Amino acid sequence: MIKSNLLNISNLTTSFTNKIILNKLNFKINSGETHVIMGPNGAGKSTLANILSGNHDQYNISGNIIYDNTNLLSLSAEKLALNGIFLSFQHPVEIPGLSNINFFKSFLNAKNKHLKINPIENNDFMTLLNANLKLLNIKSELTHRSVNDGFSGGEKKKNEILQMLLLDPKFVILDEIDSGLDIDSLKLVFNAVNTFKNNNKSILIITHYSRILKYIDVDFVHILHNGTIIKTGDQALAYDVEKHGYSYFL
Amino acid sequence: MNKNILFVYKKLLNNNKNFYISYFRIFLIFYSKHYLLIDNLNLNNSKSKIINYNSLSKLNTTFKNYIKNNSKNNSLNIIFFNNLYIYSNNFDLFLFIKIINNQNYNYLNLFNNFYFELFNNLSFVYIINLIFSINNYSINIYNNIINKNIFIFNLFNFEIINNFLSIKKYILINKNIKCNIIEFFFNDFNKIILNINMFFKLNNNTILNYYLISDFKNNGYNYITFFFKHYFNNILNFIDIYLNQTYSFVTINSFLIGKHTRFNKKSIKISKFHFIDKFIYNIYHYNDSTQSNVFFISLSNNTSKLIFIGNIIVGNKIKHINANLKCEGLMLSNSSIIQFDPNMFINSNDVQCFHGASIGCVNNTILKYMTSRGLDLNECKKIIIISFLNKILNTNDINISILKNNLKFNNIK
Repeated sequence: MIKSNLLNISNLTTSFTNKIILNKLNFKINSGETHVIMGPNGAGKSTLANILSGNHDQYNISGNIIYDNTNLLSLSAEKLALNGIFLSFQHPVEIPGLSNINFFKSFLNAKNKHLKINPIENNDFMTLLNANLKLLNIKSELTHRSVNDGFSGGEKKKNEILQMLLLDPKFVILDEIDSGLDIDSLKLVFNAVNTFKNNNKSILIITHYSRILKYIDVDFVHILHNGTIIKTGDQALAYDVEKHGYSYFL
Repeated sequence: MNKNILFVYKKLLNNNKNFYISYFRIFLIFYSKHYLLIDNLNLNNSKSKIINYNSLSKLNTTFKNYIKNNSKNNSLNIIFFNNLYIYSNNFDLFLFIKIINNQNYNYLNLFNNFYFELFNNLSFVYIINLIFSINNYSINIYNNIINKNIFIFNLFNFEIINNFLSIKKYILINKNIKCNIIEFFFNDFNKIILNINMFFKLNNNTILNYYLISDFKNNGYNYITFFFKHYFNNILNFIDIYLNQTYSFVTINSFLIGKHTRFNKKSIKISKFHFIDKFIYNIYHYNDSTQSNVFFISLSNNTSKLIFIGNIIVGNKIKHINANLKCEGLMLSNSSIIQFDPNMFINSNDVQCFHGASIGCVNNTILKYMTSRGLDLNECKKIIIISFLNKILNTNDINISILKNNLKFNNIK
């Protein structure tokens, strides 16, 4: 089966206050593929995630990013989200006063508006929400609390995945989704990601650890160093990183 | 159905010379479910009846039964209009508006004496005050309106002499009463100086839920001072919202004189343009086992300046006191100023007290997070503002819902 190209990054160079973060990065993701990016601290992993999700105002950028036949750099974060890109934040933001349930409903209605369909009915919304809460083993009380306010690290990450499931995006970036999660929560999160995964969904996982590979099958593993990909391989590469450290590949 | 009350209010006043009718219509618009009735309303309609105030006692049994049968929860049953009852067979309407003109009134007392049967059958009581000049008046609440919602609308007339108005209002809540007062202040006329003094006496074993929405757009000066005197074992839950686009000076003095009295206060102030607002809350704990909870939140925009001073005072050798004072501000503009000054003056040992203040701006990190879910910037700001206000408004209380329905985003912005 020929996979269609979803994301094509070519010669991407970004700098922030004259410091080069991504350096002539080339990288492709096809529909249905799952990629992992590993790399030492400061390699540019989170910068890549930020740029791909539309938060690129603070960077000087050259090169091209084509997402779904569109110039990604010309779209705002809001438009990218509406066009199916989802970033699971490394540090989800707390929004005191805004209940999770209201936030969820607001963004689902924004999506429906973009798709020119009617706002979601309450019953449909609750059915969708409850099914996904069950999948992630999240108590329904959590939906009535303010977004991420007072949540534990694990709850915040589960809340990100819950939003992913509700929005049903085409391309997901999971930025260190495994940090702050205990083993049980990690299993639940990747169980949900596996449920979500299909031939039309592409996933980019940014992580430091190979432990996530126990819970999800990935197509490619890349090592990012000094803003460029220095090695690409399969799952075995991640275990090599774990065994020898990054210095082995430099 | 969600009409912008303030807009309609202004429009009606401009377009309709008969301002009594305008006021009456505004009144209906508040309760949007009845909005459709407005266009059907014609006071000259042959099917409507205007009954003289004094002739009400002659109402026959059929009419009394009619009122009884048509009184439903949340339905508009009675309005007071210009010393006349007006009711219409068309839409279950029964109204009376009182004009207050340089005289002292105790009109609820009159009702208590003569029309308690009527009150017992009604879900709500509506009062409109059309205030023309200097006034002292009182409202005494007795047993027969226990558990009722009392709506008081204060609409100021443009014919005020010298553009200055001073009002004193006395509200007495008698023993063992539980009631809700929902009060509204409106004024759209320019350069008026208002000085409103309100005196509340809460007798033993009473619960008063008092809701106030104040919307002055008069480019003038508004002084509102409240005095609450609490006797034994009573609770006052006081929630107020100030949308004023004027210079506003609000002082609240709560005297917890009796044992086991509680004062729960939640306030919202929305400041905008160049106006300066000053709020001073003084809570005096003068007896044992008294509690106070004050939560003040404010939104500031443009170049407005807001000053809040909260003082909790605990007298000598007073025991088992619980007092909390918290204020939070959200600045929507870099040019606005919010200044909070929560103070506690404790002269006793057996006291649990907390006070705190926090002020913040609309946070870019939050905006980024929200836009990454597909919400546009304006929608995000709207949601943040509403979330902030929901710290006070997010409740199932029907009366707060009424206030909330009147807080449209455009009013705030």
